[in-house]
Amino acid sequence: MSTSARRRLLRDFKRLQNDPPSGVTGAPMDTNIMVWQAVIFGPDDTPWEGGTFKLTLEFTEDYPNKAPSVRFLTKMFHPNIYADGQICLDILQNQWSPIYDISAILTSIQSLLCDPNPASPANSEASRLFNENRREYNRRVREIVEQSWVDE
Amino acid sequence: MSRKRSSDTPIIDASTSDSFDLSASALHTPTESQLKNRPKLRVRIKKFHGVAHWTWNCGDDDDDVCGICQSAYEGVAPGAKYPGDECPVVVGKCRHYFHLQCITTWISTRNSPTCPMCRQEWDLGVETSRDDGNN
Repeated sequence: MSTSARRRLLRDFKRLQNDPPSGVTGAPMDTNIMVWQAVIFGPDDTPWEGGTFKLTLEFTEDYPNKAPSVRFLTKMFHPNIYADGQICLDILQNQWSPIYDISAILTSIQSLLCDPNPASPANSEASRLFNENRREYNRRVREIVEQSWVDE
Repeated sequence: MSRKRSSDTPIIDASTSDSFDLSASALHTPTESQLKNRPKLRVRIKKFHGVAHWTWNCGDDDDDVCGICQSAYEGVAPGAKYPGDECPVVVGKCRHYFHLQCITTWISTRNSPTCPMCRQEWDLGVETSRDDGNN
């Protein structure tokens, strides 16, 4: 069935293939274009370097007028990422705009990795370590990076 | 060197004339008798194929898609059946362009209408005019 959401997602997919942003990749499920799997690579020269973080994105028929629900499948350690993988990111909530596409969403999440927003903590321990003990925080992040290689 | 001359043909003789007259009138204006005696060209048009082109007058050509649906301004927005008058492009006071259908749907999901591009309050400007052919 071709709805405006599906049509838009096809355009997003084409754009992602023709003009791939660096460090992120994604594709819809074979059977359902409304559900996508994506991978964000940890940015070089940061504690996240080398990590491969899997996510799932679920779109509704209201896309692009409503943001998709995005969740990390890989275990994360980040001030703005909940234990269940939900992401606290303004553009996925009240700052959403229908001009965003999947490339924009994934690159925004990638930049959130190294640039946490201390105002909206979702993981209090990560938040506290980020503010008070950056060395320990970085160590925990590198642990997560190593775990990301063996995660199912 | 032989040269046929007929009295009613304008002649330009390079060897005798110091200044060339290459103006259109000297070279191309047929005389009355030429007009009378010229062979008649008979063409019957059996069929012709007309092609027209139009675009919306909406600023930059670089980014010629509606930011919301990501399809061309001249294309069809979701909810519209045909391009053109049925799928007009509108501009806000902030000078950002969208398909009427696209921006209307977006605004209907908001408590306060904002431009998707710049987040300023969306205030409908005017429909853009269509530019037929020349652009």
